[in-house]
Amino acid sequence: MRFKLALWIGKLANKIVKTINPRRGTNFCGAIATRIDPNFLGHMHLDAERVIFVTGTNGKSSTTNLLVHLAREQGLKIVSNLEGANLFTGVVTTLVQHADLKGKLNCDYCIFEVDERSLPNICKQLKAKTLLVTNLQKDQVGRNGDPDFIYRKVLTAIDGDTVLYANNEEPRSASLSRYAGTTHFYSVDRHAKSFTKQGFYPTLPCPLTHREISFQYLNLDNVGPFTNVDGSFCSLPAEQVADRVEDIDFEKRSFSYHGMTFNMPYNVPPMLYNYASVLSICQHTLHLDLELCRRSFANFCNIDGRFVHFRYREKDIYFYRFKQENPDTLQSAINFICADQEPSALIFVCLSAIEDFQPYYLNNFYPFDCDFSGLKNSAVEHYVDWGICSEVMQSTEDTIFDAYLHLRRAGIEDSRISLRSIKKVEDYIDTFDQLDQKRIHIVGLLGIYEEIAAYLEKKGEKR
Amino acid sequence: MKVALLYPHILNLQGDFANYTVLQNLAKSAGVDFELTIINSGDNYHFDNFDVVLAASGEVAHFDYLRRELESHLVELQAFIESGKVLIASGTTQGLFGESILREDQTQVRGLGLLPLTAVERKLVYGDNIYASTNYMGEHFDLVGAQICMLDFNYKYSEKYRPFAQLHYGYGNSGDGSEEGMLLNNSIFTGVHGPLLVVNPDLAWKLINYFEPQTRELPRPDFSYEFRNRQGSISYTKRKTSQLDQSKLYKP
Repeated sequence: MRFKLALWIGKLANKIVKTINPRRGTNFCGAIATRIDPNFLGHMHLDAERVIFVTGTNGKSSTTNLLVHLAREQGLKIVSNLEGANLFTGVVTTLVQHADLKGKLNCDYCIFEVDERSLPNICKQLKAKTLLVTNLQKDQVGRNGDPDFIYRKVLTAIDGDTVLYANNEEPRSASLSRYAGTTHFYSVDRHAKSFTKQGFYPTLPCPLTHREISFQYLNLDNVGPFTNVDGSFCSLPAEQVADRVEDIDFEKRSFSYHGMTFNMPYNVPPMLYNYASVLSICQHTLHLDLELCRRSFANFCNIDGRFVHFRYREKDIYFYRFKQENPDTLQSAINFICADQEPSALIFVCLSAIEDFQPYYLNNFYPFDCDFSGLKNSAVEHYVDWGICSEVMQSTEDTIFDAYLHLRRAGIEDSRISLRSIKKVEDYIDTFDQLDQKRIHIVGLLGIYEEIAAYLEKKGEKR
Repeated sequence: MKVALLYPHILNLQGDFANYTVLQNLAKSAGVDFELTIINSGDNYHFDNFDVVLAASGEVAHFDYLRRELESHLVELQAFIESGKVLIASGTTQGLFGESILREDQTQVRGLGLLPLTAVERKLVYGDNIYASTNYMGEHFDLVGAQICMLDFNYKYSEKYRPFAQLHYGYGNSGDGSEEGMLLNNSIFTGVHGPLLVVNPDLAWKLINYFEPQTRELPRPDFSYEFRNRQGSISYTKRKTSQLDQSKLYKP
């Protein structure tokens, strides 16, 4: 009875919130339902065979979006938290929204994106037989601490019954296979944007033997064919991983998987592992027709992806939404910009202020895990450091020199760097107008993109 | 100047490895030879070959392995510290040089026993800014940085084992008290992790002056932008504590 009361009140709360603002409420009714019935997820009595969790540091949302898209295109009924609320209450909210008044779901599968830290609490009530781990890297250190802290959280979701989908080229997630009943490794072949690092650069410790790991080359930062120092733990050789994205052609926007050629809806390196993992799970767990999956790739549109391109007047603007405190996504953005052969300008937006939860603080360290040196010989002609204000930062002086100093340390001359304090949205647009370059790269947070996009759309200037 | 990075592929959590780059750049600008050694598993090395050894913050999961790696060098490491050379161990890695760490699952990780220090793994991570000052090698330094607390540290201070810094703001060793880290001769054990020497370059310059006496005659390099950046951190910290609703501030 408590469960049904929680469900009904949750549904009522959802209806009210959606009436007021259809874009809000991704956690609200779940929070109410959980308060009434703390074991709400358990009381849904979902079949673990029909539940898939997608977790990891980077790529959870894009992977879930694509997986749900392909499954629905082939007629499967899917319940998913596509709106991105991936905490405990977000999962509850999704179930409250989709269950009938008796608490029954009419679907073939539940596919949930799950925040790594929330995984143990969710798993106490809701089991998933299938777990997809994208990667486990440094991220949101103010609450996630170190990768081992998250590794231990993810381990709580794995037992002898688990069917694990693991990234063959990411050491931490690959090592989880030791604890799962079945593991499907997915992999990405070397491609035109793979790279090696020159000189000394730290990698990561082996999660099993604690010794050094080295990479043959990198497809993404700290993701590539690897071996530990004594050879006791390494990525599987290419011929042993069937679920592999190969023949990658960024120009033609295509790759092959199991001998079939796929169109690449987003031709950026981080998406390749998402493609590989999704196709693997479509094949082995959802048993979808790969030919139909191939056709469905053409009309996939990602929600809130990391990479956005738009035009403003005669300029092409490329916005890289990096995750703060996650050096790997910042490095991927830098690598992508360094690989661009066309003359361009690069705008950095305040790297250090972390103000999403208390205590707010300045994280002055994670960009030091990145290698900015490639910028010196890149086609970037001019750099702009945007200083922004925030709840605490009433003066842009607090943080404006942070990105500036990173650029100087990378050997960029002072004359090629401008500092620009942003006080209002027009200041962003004015920067675009002031720059001579026709291509502008921006590395910043999604909120800034949304602010710029809303302004330009209102003015009718965004394409 | 001879600098070593201690197991940097294993200990590298918070951008700490950048500390060697500031020493390298300052040495270069002062006309000083700079030699960098990367110490990896199984390497044959001797601490007395180095002036500065940097031990970055790392995951506790690897400390048992690192203790076993370092135990055969324990006597020379003690001599290195006693001689006034500089080991800088930051963040969680302070615990590796202490007596023991009690993990969340109640298992005990033994440390090298060089410091009167025990540590306890926290259930929740706590991250925040840190603003402190220290008297190091007879000179006053302001320090800013960040602290991601995975462990609570219990230092037993004495005349020989002194605090490294006095806190103005931050979590410090365990959320209590105003003392931070430990100074043993010239070796530093601190929770101010990450690029400590990069964001506080005057401390890096002090190390250059100490090991290369001829540089003491040189004018200090221009750190004006670094100091403005540091002042920005201090202003941010002060504003955070004075202007925000105190009830909104998270208490660890």
